[in-house]
Amino acid sequence: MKFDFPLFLIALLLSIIGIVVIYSATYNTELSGLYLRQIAFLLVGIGVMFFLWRIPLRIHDGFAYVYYIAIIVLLSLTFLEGGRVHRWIRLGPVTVQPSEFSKLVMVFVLARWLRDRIREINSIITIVGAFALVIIPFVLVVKEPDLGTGIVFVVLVFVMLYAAGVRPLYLFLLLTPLLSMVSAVHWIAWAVYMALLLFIMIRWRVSPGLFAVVLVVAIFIGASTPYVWSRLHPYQRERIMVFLNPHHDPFGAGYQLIQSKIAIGSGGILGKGILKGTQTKLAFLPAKHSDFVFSVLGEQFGFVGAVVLLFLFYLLIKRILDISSSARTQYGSIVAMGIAGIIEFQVIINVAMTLGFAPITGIPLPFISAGGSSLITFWAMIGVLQNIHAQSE
Amino acid sequence: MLSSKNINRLVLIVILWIFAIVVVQARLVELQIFQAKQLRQRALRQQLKRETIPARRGSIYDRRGRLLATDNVFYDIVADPTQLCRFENLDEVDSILCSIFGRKPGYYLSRIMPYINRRFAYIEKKVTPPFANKVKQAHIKGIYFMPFYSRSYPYGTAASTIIGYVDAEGKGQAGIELYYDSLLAGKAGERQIFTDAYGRDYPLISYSISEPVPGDDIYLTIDIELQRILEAELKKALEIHKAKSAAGVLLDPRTGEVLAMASVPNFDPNNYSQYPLENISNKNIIAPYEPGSIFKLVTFAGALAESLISLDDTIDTDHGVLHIRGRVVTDVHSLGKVPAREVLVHSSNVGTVIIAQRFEPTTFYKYIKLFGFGSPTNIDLPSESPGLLRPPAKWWGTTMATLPIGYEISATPIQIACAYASIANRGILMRPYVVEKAVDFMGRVVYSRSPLKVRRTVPRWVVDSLTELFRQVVLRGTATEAKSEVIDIAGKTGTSHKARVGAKGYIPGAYYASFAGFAPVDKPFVAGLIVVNEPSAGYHYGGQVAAPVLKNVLEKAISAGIFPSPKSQKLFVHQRDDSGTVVVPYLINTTPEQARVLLKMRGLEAKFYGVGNVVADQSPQPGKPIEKNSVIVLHLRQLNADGADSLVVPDVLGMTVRESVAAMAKSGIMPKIEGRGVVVEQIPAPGSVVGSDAVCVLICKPKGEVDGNFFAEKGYR
Repeated sequence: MKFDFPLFLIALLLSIIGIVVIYSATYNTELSGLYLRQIAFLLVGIGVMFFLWRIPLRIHDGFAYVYYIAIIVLLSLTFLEGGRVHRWIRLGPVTVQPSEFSKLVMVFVLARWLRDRIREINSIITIVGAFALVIIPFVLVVKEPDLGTGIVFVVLVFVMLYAAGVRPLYLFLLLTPLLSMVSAVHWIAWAVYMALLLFIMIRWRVSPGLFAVVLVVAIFIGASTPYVWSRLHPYQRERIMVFLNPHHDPFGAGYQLIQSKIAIGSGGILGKGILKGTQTKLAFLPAKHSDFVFSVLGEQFGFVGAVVLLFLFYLLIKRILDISSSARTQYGSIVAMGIAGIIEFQVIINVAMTLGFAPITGIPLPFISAGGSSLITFWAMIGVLQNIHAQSE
Repeated sequence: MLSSKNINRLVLIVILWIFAIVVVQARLVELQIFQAKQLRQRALRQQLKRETIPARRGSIYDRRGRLLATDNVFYDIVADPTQLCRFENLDEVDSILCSIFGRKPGYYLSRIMPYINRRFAYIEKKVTPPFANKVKQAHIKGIYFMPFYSRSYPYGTAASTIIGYVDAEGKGQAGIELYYDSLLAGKAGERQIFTDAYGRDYPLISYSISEPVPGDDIYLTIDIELQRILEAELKKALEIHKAKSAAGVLLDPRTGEVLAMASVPNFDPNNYSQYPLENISNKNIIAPYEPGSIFKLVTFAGALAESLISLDDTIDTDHGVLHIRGRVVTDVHSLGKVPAREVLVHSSNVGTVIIAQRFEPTTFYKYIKLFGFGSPTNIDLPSESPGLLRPPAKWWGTTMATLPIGYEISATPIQIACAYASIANRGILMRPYVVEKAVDFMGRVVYSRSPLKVRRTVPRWVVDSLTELFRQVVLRGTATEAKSEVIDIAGKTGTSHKARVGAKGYIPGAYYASFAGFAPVDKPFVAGLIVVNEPSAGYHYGGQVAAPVLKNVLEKAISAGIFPSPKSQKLFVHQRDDSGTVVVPYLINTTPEQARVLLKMRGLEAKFYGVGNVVADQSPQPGKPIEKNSVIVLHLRQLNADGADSLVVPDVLGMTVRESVAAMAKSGIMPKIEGRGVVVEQIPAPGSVVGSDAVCVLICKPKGEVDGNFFAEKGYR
């Protein structure tokens, strides 16, 4: 069986960088043993990769809905734990975070659904069905609360629909409610958006029924948004504002962003050196080993370190897309693109968040952020990709 | 098996992906390249906190170099648990420390363990130098010493009302400690310490901005042994006569130096808070009272100087009762017709008032002012009261009947003592003072005082007449209790009614008993005043209560060798310390060469222990008086030895990049250049002490852009 060494090496390199940064970020703190756990998770993850390498893709295809039921049960189990945050299931000494595994599961589930309906790929049932499939997991993770993973699911649906060949026009129309709401911040923006929408629908000859539905939805949402906004409590508005622009609240969510920017910026070109970051050491940086691990890297290894990391991610995605294009089956190709979509989205959103221009959503940096479930899930994805690669001609 | 359409889709994803990465990279360029400097400064601003390093307060010595007040150094012994874990065996450290401090084994483990992941834990607080030295000699990595100072007064209550005290914040609050606070305090240093997001300090990683400058040492004119005798006698009088308080002051009439000044009951400045505020005040300075007969000095001096009387004039005191301007003046014993001299010798109020009638009020007022009444003496002690004296325009009709015998005027003991001292000093009034000199930590005299003549009070011949009269007062007048076998004392008694506070009239049966005088009569070297407030054990006359106090003090001082025996015909000068002792300078952190020069300047010798480029510790401690030609032991250390030690940042401002890098390299500090041209700013500042792994940021500007003044200041052209 073929084994894709470049893919394996890039993932391994990223994981090792992650361990070094975690070691440095938690050095001399109460979490100082964390990097050892991460090493253990890496070894488990590599094991999982070799295992999945050997598992034929059709097995996942066949069991997709079984996985689906299983992951919904697991996500529900998190609510058995007390407290206000339900993300983990305790299994003896370790806790697992099913929302991480659910990302890969949803790739299989959506790929199965789209494969079954590949002939009517542009039908409403196919598209609506894809969204319907993610509703239950979406609600469960958002309730945890883990909005980040929820957003990953939505993005995943778009990526998979696109990969399976849905008309881009439909994907655009699917975005109508969201775009209409966002553009409603100012009537000129909304007017421009509506004009664009009409032009696109006329130019690509959207059927009259769909045309009417989209238009009504767009107008309804566009008109009601300012009204709903004005009826919200000031604190609710505040929350939304802070989510969209954390700088709005320099002592709450904005504090983390400002500290992250200071850390990255003060790293300069070459960084302060390993274990030397004062922002990290003096606890100014929040969640330094998990969501803000990129800031630690930026402070200690500087611009050069950050560019090297982003280049490695670029190579990883490039490799995955190569595997996707050379996949023997369209099913394999769709699965690979789904995986690429998840990794891409998480990298960009996480890095953009630490750089201060994306909302804080709690999305970990693939392979780098501390956390066993996340690391093992990404290695599992590598395993699935190895199998797709092995079966290609 | 992808259709060409699907391949197009992949291309679109790749393009989107590259676009996203480019956006992120652009942001990285913005933050890490263009805003890096600004963000780094922002980081330091929130991570560094300024903190003051207390300066050692100057010591106070008496005129013979005896230590009256000093800052003792103590150490807080602290640990950096992280370092401790890395370099040492915790159990071993625990057993070493336990054997030094006599704690139960495991005690220090329990102090360190809760902070094991932190960078700071207290081991022992307020440790004396000998114990701290024992710990230092154990050379434990990760153990640090944080010195601080605590004020102590070895003589306790003695001279407390002169010295004053220092409050919990280290500020002088009374006496010398208050008046000379600016000299004693020194200058606190400043350093920057790291602080984390939770506001926890990391004092062991610090940049010092400026080193503290120790305060100046102050030498008093007081002789502490004489002071103790005076205080003992005053306390004795207080007990015998069941009085409320007593005060006394002794001066050298020739110079105005205060030799002793006491106010009892007093307080212990080591525990000042346990005493009532009343005890802390120096009555000699702040508490004026109506002097009574003691004030007849002015009446007689003025009358003689103006030739209004001759001592042989006959004064008719009648039956000791005089009705004058609606007032009745009485004598204790009626004298009848007597020569004027007897009026003073027996302190006749009637006679004095009769004589005073010959004065124009303004002339009389002139003499009052000449002797210094009604104005502060400007002694160098805080809160001096000028006493109360109204100008003639505001006098009542009865004033000329009461003022000549010391009422309707209030004077402080120091004013009265100075007035009498002027007679002892052949008619020259001197300004009194208590501080002889101040010496800085390098041993340089930064302040020194020489005697200051204020004015002549009366001509020599008047002085001679008055001296003779005051001698008669002691020999056969009201102050026979002050007659001594060993020293010839001259003086005048006073017994005055105590005025009500805030109301008219006097308290029946409440008196001030005073005696002012000087000795020896022929060549006086001491003058003074004793006043006892409300003696209430039967006696209340100045001659009975106050006069023996002065006599006893002088006799005891002679037998203690403080004053010369009367047989000695030499001109007596009060002893000073300048003979063979010098003050140990402060040498810590100086280089061995500097230290040697500083010691040589004072006639001291250096003996070095250890190797290194700076002085780490010295013995004896700075500020201690020591015999000339003594040896000072200096322990050296190497400043750039390892991470725990520190380097001094050189001044490279104005240098070119090349020069500054060379200078930095020489002192072992890693320079980091920002900009080009000449160095215009250094972070941390020149002279700072930094760890050996520190980086000094040198901000440079092209020479053309630098302000001309900058070079002028630096001495460059």
